[in-house]
Amino acid sequence: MANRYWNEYQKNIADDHYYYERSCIRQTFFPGSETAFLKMMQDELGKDIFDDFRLHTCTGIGYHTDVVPLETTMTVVARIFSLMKERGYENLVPSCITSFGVFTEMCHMWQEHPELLEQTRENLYKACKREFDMPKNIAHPSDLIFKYRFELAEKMKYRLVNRFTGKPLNVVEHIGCHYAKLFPDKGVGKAEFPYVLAGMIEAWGGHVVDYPERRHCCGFGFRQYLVQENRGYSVSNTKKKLESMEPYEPDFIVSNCPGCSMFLDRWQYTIAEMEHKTYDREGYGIPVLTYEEMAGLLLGYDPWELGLQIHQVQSERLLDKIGIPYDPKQKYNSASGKILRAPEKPENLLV
Amino acid sequence: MADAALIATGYQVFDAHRKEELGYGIYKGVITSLDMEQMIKHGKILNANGDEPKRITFLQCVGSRDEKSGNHYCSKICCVTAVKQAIEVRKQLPKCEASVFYMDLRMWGQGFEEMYRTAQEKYGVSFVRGRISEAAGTFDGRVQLKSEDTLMGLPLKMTTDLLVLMVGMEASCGTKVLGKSCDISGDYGFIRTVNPHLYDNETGRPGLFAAGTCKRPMSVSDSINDARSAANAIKDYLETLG
Repeated sequence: MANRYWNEYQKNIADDHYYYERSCIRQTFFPGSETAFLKMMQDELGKDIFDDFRLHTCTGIGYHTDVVPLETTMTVVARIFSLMKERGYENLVPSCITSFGVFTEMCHMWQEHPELLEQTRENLYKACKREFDMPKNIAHPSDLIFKYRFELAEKMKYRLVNRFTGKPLNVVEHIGCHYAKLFPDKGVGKAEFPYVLAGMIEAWGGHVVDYPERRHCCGFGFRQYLVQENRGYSVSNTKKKLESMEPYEPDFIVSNCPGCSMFLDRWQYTIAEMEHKTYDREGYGIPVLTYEEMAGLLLGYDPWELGLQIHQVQSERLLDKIGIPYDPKQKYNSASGKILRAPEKPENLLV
Repeated sequence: MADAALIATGYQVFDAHRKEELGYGIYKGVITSLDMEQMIKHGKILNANGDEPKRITFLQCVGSRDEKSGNHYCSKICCVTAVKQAIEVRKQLPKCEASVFYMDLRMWGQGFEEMYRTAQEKYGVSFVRGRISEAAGTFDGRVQLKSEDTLMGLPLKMTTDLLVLMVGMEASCGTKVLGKSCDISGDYGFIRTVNPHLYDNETGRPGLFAAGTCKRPMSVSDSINDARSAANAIKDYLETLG
């Protein structure tokens, strides 16, 4: 990257002792990602990160679709903070980018409007006799992986290099809007040239694709998707991005947002069905990975344990390019070894 | 030991790298008004690929009237310069489209309002009221722009061969250093004078005077007049010393 000024801004990311907040939707969309992240933090980096089974929704989706009022969101967030306080942690790490945005936004509102903070304290105490403190540090898991990207690189078995050509893989990175567009100073590299994923790609041998619609929304947009009549907006925005990146022939897309990863992946099937169009040369589509899946693959974690088979666009061709071994027979086996039925194949998108 | 000194340390152009969203220093098709002036002077207006451009877009107020860069003031000369450069582009490359994105056009000075009209009527330069929010490089080396046409109330996306950033004026390094060391530093690092209306060459320090763009953005003719005024003020001061 030729940009210079983002270097002058470094986000404050805590060094250790994190309180992890799992995501409502990520465990369904990307079933291996959160476990892989915890494994990296605990086993690879030796960090203290607490995975609390008692946690609950942050209300993010309801908040952004106007079905949950602000006061409710504040009180629910305050409860999460009270659970963190009870466990003796001060550094919050929310898995979901929308939770990251919600927590950051609520803390910002409380700092700007102390009367809202007092009201929330009162509401929480009335509701469940709990007390809370605001986190000292809120970092997204992608921030942590970015922070320790060179330490992880030393442990990696593979690099983002095409083993057949020896050239770096072309990687499209996509940042969730709620990561740096709500509060640019809370994202690594801020909003214009976010570097959180680009830094990982560069550190691990890949080439970041800088395409015209790089900063454009993935199209999820909550109401654009959740209101059925608006889904045309959602798919058309994804299509705009895919068309823009197509000439650069990306090997895969990586994102730090559950909605972005989901829709950049699934809409490829929809567009293929609607228009018989795929965005790679051979008709398989462009694989979409989470940053944990990308890091996990390079660390040598099993692709099926990471949950890559759950994606719409399948990843075997990417694994072959990097040189990552996999067992096709294990692809649709359950964790206990039970053979599950393989999904039906789409008509237009090759798998 | 001199009895009087005149500060004329001037200005420097705004460093367009600071507006990362506009892609200067990142995409070859994004240049500054200074770069364009050189191209016009040498009669070689070329795009990033070294070819004759088909469309050139000028963007006003880069580093001026801009809260994000911290410069709230108007640089005064950029509007006229953009209109002049757009006309020059059309003269040298009649097939090349030229458009200017602006907040509002401030055509200060005699004949400049007429020049703005001529640019539209005679040279076909188009003027779009709107700020460019983002510039991005395209696969073929051009620049994709996103903006809003605020007169039409519609978002706008277009591709251009060259994006010319009309960079504003800032206090030069010398101006900032002198201003601080003499305790006459004013807003934005420019030199502060006793009164911008009546005593605009006097700094309040005995024998220390200021002229030109070290005080604020000025055109060439303003700077010449100000230099003459400063010379008179110094002459008056020296006469008081006897």
